[in-house]
Amino acid sequence: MVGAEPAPAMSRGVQARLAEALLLTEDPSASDSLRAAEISAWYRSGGADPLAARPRARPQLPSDGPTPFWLFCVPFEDMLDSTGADPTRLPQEAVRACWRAVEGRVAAEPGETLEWGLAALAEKARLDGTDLDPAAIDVIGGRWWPIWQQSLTSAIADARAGHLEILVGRNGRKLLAEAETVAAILRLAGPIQRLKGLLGPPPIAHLSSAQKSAIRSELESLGRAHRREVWSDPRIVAHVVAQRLENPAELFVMTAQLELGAVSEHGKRLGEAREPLILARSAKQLAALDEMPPTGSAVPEIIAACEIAAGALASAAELEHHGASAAYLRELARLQEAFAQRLGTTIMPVLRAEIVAPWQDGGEDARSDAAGVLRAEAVARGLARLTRSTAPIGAETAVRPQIAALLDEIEAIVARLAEGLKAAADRGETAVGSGAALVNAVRTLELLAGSDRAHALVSTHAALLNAAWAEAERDIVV
Amino acid sequence: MAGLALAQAAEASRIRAFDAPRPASFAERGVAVAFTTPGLALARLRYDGRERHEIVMPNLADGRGVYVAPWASLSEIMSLTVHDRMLQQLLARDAVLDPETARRAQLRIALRGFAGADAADAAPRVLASDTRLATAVNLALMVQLIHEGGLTSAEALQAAETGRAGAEFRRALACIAERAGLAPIELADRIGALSHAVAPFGLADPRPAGRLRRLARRVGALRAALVGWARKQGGEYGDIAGLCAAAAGEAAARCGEILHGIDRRLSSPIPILRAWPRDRRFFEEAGQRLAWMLDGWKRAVVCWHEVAEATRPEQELVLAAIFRALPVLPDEADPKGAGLDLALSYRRLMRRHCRGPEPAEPAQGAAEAARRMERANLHAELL
Repeated sequence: MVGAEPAPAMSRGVQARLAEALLLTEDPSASDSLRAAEISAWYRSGGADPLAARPRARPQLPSDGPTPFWLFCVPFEDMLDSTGADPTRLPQEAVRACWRAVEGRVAAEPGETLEWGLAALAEKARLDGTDLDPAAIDVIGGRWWPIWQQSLTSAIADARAGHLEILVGRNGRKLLAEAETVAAILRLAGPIQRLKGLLGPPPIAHLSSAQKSAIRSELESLGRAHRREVWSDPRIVAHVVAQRLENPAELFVMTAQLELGAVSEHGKRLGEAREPLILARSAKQLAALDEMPPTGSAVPEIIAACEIAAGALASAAELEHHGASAAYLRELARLQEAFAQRLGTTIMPVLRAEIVAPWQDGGEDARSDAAGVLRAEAVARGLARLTRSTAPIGAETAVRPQIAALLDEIEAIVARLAEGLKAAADRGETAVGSGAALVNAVRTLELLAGSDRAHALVSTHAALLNAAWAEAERDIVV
Repeated sequence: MAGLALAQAAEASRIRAFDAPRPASFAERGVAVAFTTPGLALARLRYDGRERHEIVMPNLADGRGVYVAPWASLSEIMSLTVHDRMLQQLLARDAVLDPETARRAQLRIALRGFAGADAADAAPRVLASDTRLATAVNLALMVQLIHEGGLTSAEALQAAETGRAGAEFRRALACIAERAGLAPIELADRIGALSHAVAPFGLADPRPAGRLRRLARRVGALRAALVGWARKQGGEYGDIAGLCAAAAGEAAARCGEILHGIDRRLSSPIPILRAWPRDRRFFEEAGQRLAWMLDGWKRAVVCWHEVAEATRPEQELVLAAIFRALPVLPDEADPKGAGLDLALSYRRLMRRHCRGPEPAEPAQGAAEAARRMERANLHAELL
């Protein structure tokens, strides 16, 4: 960890996750649920920036198998929040209230049938040694989510008429808006689950063209239905699914470009949360970069994390053309600056050290350390990729000068190796290792500066290299 | 008189149609060089009429046609890797451009490190295996000649067990030398020379098979795999797989014919050794024909093998690449026109499906694509 305080015996994140696990696996109607929520909130409220990274609450599978409450939460599993402070999520308190409202209204017998179905599902997974079958979950859920949605809708109506007190929070706050959101999501659980199946399990760094195409057609299809029936606003689906993505802005930009019909009240409400969601996700990614150890073995993960962060920030900036607020754009600029600063000060030195590592001890042994050379080349390729992906957010200005210095360094290595070749030739000896190391350095330079500069370098030292190759290949029949 | 000759030369039947369904010769088809520039993934290299290299790029930018560009101006179209520039420089030193000279140049460039440190490590092993194959062929021919010299397998074994192997083998080979009218030392030299000439394709089963014979088998196996895939998947890609399978089958069958001729000739090595080097040309030409027949199939075999367990979209992507660079046999290899229908079907299908499928993942940078090509080339050489 770079520049961080010493970690406590059990980190805040671990304790928060433990609290969430307690919270989500216990019976929601039990009296001690409040304690778990308080613990969780306490750990989460430790002076944290509301937009900073937070582990996401999920309806973790209870140890004794799937429960009806767990199934109820599946469509909005990525939106669960136990702090109540995150405007982009559904507060745990509201979800529990919704469940209590629904549970009391659904007849006991179908409820038992549901429990048997879930138990059978768990037993099958146990016997097969696999996870629960997502398709089977969707089949069972497909029967129950509409029932729960109808039940919740009538509970909301009763609450509005003053006949029901169950949709009220601890401090007396009415949870009707949240309950309506839950009902809207349950109504669209089918499309949501279809898209989740298409995306696969998180983390999802970016959308492939096939995924984009499938999402687009699903949203457009919903949009057509929405123009006929008000309840199927595709924006709700987009918002729920976006919670699952590392780059939610990518989906929001796509959604903004589609003709989806009039925005519903829930769609509008959730749409207001898109900016906090995007900013929170980017802040989390930047925080994750700080957590990564700046060592060679972590370089592939560091590059991947940087690419994801750069991609998310670039997509986030595209919302400028789709009604983004001034505050959002200001915060985004701040995050982009922070990313560029991290890239320049923390990440680049690590990458540079990895790239020049094969030539650190003279470099003549570079041929024997093929794995080290290939590793350095992979890092150089990653850096070249990173430079491209940071260009749309202007962060390449933090990278370019350092790459220029790195290229000078590689050219100096090539010059030193060429000197070694020349000195060996003057002595009537051959320096096969220097020739191979020189070519390896040229390949690295090619990755970062292009082939014209690299080829010019080879041409400069062609005579020396030809002599070394002639010697090296003398005893090999080619 | 001169006017008549000019008129005859200009007759339509004597002029090759610009849209001929297949190339006239192997040289016109070009050599499938192991380039690493992504834009040259499906390209072939050939000489133009003025002893300069030109590149033949099928299906550039999903178009139907074949683009031909002089090598010298290629850098205006795309950024060539250092590997490809060095490889072309090496190839330009040879007046002849064929699959075998291209392979040697590729190995030399790999040895120098331009194809990556892993290829530089592997190149000496590949070259050593060529040499080992010649030695294995030499031994196999020796054993064959010892038997023809009158020593049965049981007798040879008994001689080995009683410590008389050297003497008995020398006696048998001396007998062969006498029948061939050669001194024993001359016989050994000629066996060595014959082994060297035979090494690229090797001997028939169960004796050592050379790399070209192994590749011909792989092309046959590719045919079977594609036929199975086409039956199972159907649809437009089923048609494409079926056509690729037919082309692979045709190449494998032609290779089988050439190998059959070689094996028949090698079944009686004494006349060959007696008249050596009279038959050297036969074997070298047979090797060249085999190499041309198989040229371009190595990367198809490797690519299909790599997606054997992949998803259908990934397989379709690879199939489209194989299809677009399908090594259809030229007129030269099929004077009777038996494969003309296949060439016509290929052209028809290309008109319909010249545009390949979109990759599932967004295109990565040129450096990643070049590295993938380097690895595929390395796998192809290690087949």
